[in-house]
Amino acid sequence: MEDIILEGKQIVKNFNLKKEVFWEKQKVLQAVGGINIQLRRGQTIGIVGESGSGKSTLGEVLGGLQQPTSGTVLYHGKDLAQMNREERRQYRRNIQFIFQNPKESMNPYFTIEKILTEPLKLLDESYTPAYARQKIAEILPQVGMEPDCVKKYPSELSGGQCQRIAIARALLLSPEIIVCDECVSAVDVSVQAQILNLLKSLQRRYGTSYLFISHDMGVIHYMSDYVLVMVGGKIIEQGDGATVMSHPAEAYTAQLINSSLFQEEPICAAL
Amino acid sequence: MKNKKPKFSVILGMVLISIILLLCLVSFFWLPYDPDRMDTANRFALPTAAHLLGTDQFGRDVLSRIMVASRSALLVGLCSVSVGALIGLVVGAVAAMSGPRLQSLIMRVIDGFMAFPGILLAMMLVAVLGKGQINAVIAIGIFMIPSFSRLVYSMILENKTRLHIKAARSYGCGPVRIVISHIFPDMLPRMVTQFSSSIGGAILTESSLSFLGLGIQPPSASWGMMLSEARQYVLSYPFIAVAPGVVLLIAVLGFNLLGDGLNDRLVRKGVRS
Amino acid sequence: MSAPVMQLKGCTVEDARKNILIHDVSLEVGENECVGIIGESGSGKTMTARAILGLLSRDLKLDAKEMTLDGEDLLAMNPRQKRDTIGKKIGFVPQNTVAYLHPLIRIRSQIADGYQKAGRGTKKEGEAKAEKLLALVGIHDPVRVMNSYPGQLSGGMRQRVNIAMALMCDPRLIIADEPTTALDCIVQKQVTELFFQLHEQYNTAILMISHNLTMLKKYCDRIVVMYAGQVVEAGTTEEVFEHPSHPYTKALMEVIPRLDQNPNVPLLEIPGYVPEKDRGRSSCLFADRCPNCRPQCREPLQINEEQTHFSRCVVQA
Repeated sequence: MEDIILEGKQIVKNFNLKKEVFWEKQKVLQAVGGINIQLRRGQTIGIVGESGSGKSTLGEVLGGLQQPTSGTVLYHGKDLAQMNREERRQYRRNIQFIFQNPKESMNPYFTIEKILTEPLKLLDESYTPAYARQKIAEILPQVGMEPDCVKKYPSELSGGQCQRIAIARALLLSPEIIVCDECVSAVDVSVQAQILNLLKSLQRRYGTSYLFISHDMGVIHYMSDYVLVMVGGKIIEQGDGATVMSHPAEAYTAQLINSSLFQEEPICAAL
Repeated sequence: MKNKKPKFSVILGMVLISIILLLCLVSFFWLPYDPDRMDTANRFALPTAAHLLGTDQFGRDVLSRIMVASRSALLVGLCSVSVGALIGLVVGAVAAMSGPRLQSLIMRVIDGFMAFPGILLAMMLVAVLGKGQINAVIAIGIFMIPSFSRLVYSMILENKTRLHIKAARSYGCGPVRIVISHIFPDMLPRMVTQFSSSIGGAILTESSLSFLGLGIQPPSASWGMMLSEARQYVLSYPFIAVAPGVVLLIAVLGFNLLGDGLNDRLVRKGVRS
Repeated sequence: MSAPVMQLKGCTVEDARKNILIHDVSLEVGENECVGIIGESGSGKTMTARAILGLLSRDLKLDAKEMTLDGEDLLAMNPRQKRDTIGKKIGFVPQNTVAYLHPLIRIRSQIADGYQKAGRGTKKEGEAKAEKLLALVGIHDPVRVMNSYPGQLSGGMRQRVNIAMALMCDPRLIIADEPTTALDCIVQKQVTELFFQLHEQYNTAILMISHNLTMLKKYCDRIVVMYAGQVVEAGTTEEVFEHPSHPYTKALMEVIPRLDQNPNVPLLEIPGYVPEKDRGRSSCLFADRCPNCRPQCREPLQINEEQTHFSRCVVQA
């Protein structure tokens, strides 16, 4: 289909575990085990799972931060492994990340201005200092920040403000896809609402696609059109967001939902 | 930082280093006597108003010779550590940013270098390269590489897993840029510390080489050589070994104290912020 | 209500630069009662727990009108007595399961430490009791766990060990500071349930600190809502959840996306950020972020401290 912008086919990612003695056979941890995923323009795919389920690894493989052990990542139908330099740059530019801990995702020695300028310098061909200043001045109000924060360091901002800057950094290059890796789990609930609303309104304005990774069922439900439930590197359930949440087909999904509500009653259709 | 007062060791280190620096700077404008002028009538003189630190076995003025020698000591110290730090930085960074195979290869070679006693390594290198000041710089520089590369290597590995580095990769930073603009500022305090401490070591090694006759060649003056020459007469004229020994002590102690003090101030502060 | 197990009145904590971190916090945990403290990070809920436990770092200054534990006045004691009393009467369950257990000592050797310290019995007796308690907190093979190092256990297991450890001295009160935040959803629920089973079984009072409203609503008898170092609302769970009277409490309940939330309707936002400075002032600290702010909110507030359903808000909605 035309509007599939990112596709993962049979993605496998193994990690070599540390050997205790060197003649030991190499043990392998399979973080992601053969996952297929298709992300369309303007769509939000929510990936939910517990820690160790491989959801972050999947996000990083799709975002090109890690090489898959096998399987292919297709960006606009083009295999990531066979891209030339220019195509790779376009891909890099069009897929951005927002990480869990906003403060740690910024270099503490950089000012906000430098943090925001760097992606432009590296990936935007029309970069000049004046252009960057203008872009930054345009983007900051959109994420609800005052333009005078550019002279500050990340440590002078609160967690919520830092996450806004991280969103601004991701948006500066007007990417097609943003991978949100647990992007609200380290901020407070009152700020969480601000960030989620902001992400949604930006999506409406720019038609950005999100790959939304979280362990919080409520957040996933609120954000996602389509939900994948991951356990042990595999997808055990997927489907339309509302359907998965209200009528989970798998006992595990139901257990996740119940636990997050501290509920006893099974609301699983299959049980 | 609540405690803004510089630590005692930093102050003492700075005072000692400035003594040496002063000796060196003054030597360019003024010397009490020509350091090479012999005065056989006035050999082994004890300190007097005319010769503040006495004279040596040829009647040369010891203070003048120490002052001239301080130039080469500082030059060799600074240059060799710079060479070592620069190469060490590159080697460590390459090792830390490359794949597991190359990484372990480089680090095993570095371990091999570290297994040699430093002075032995320097002597071997001088034996290969030949005697002289430049070769001493190269020899000592090579001997400095392992400690710097290990430092850089471990600091990069420590930093590499941090989230802001991952974020930098996500917007297209290559490995070289990551090291230079993202990790280097974090390493700088420890590099400065290591640099300062290493200069002390380098001056000592240079003196040892000169003492053994493998470093700076006569008639140029060097502290190690002065000590070596004094050795023959030390039983009859003990004083001639004192002055170069004390100056060497001041220089090495100064740089080490400064390094220690900087370590406490810069590195700890870095950890806190 | 019977005599409270723990009572804290007018507790204020300042740092070395005279910044007020928590201001005039009053808190009461009754016999066999389960009290929940809700608040965001920086609201002072952990600071309050630390003040009770005597774990504040040295450069902080604690000032309280009243601080009693099981009828004993903590303020009148010397540090040593205070430490002993707290050690015997309060069990503490931390958030960070890794940091609270010594990584290089087997569980066996650290679990009965406090028990021996409190002079309850010998090491052997302590270990026997620990084994029983580990079984009680749902660990199937206590002996294996006793012989493990903390690193060999999962997060859920470590938290169970922490709970068992808190129970060693038959405490009158358990203070749990976000005990399940670091755990996965399913384990989180299991551990929480365990807490409240123990609560029913042993009649131990619990002071549970959390930001998870759903959890506190389900398990607690009374709720205390903290904001910017103050108690803004306190009352029974029903009062607070069914008839919240402080706008912050109301907002807090709205901002969390629930599973029955319509994804197309934006979530309620609380604009702005938690104030860091000037927390000692007597006007409303929430005024700048409040949707319902009136002129009188900028004036010193006249609050009736004695009301059962306490609220630090003068605007009647």
